[in-house]
Amino acid sequence: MLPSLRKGCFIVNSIRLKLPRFYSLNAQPLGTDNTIENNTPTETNRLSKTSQKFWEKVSLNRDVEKGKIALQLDGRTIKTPLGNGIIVDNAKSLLAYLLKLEWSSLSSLSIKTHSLPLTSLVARCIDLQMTNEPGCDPQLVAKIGGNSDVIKNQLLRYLDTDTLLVFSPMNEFEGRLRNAQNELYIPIIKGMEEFLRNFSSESNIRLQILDADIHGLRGNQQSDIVKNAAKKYMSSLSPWDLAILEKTVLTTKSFICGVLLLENKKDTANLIPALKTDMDNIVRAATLETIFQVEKWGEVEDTHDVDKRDIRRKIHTAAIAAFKQ
Amino acid sequence: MDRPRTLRTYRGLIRAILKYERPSKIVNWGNLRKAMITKLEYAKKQNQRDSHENINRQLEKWKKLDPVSDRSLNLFIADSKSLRSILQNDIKWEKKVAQGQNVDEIFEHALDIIKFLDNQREYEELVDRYNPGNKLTQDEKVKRTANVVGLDVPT
Repeated sequence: MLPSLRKGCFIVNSIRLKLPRFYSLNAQPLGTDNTIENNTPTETNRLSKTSQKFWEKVSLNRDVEKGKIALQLDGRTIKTPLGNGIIVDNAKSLLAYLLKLEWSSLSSLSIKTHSLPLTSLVARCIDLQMTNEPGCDPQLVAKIGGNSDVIKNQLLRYLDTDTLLVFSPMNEFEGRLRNAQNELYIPIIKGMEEFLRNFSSESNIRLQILDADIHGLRGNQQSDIVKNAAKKYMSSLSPWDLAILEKTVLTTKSFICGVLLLENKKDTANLIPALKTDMDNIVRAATLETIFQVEKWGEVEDTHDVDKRDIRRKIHTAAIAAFKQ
Repeated sequence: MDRPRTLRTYRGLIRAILKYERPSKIVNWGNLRKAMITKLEYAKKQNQRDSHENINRQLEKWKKLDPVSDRSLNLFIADSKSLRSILQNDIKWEKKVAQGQNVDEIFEHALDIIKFLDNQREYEELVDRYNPGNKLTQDEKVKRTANVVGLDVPT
């Protein structure tokens, strides 16, 4: 027993020594709120610090000349954490209505950071837009957690171990999970490769998948060609869309899901057929393994039921913000 | 042509907004009820000689009001006028549906809104249910903590 155990240990160690340990590079946590806490006197900051309702009336102020709608508390425009006003274009009037609904449905004492998902996403969109304008105060850029290049590089890391690129072993769930993954993921991966080809001069774009049966348990990394194409795609996005991509990627742990959501909310006439999908399908793709786990072992209270709503509310929030009227 | 679909989606949207608004409406009505009862009782005390038929009747009405179970308080959404104006004048929902102009996207967007509102509401309900201490005031928390060891907080 002991010698064989030692031998097994030796094999593992030798594999460990031979494999490049790229997966442990820059392993700081992602998805944490990097915004530096600040004391800018804005409504959003005041709310997050006191969690008390301090206003009487929420209203929308429509500026017809400029074509903008401002969200106001007792006649004063609400400011984002960085101090920009929450003002949206006239063309996004339904979004403005929903923002107002969100604020007017709050009641004191129950206000938590998760009570205003739409406002927080829109505030992020606006802040990113403002900090990306030339001549922006570098301090503000630092407060939001770096400029859009930093965000792009962070998001790119999700493409390496994308939820949609990792396949379960065949022997789990009698192969049902693997079959479902094959059926759902492979067409999307193919479509995604075709989509990324638009952003690259190379024609052989291949997304590296991580198959538990072949590759076992290890890290995954995409080729530079894929990374450059993905970077080029992100550069083609407006700061507003980049914030939505970020939200979706962090929610689903999948870069591909983020692209799917954004592209399906644009003009879908030119979209590759394999990428055409709806939000429910995106949620299903991102949580496929959990769905099978719940089916087999049962739903755990205070975990599965909450998470299920959480991912849905976040995805639909992103979809609402991405919609162009 | 797509009229039934439009109606169904619109109804779903209104229903989702109504449900979403309900908790805050209950709180608002509760606050109003409390304020009104105090006000009326104060008025009663001010001029004790008069008969208070009118005030008594009003007081009775406010005391009977139960925002949690009274469904008539939640029949309309708070801001239906601006929603209707947005759907009609900005999105031009009806017109676009009639002309068959990117109809699917509009319906999908409406569905997104409905699902967002529903999931957000359910999420908050669940979080509140699993963390019942979240909604207590600081005083209430202190009182309950003292109660755990069999003490009462002096009033």
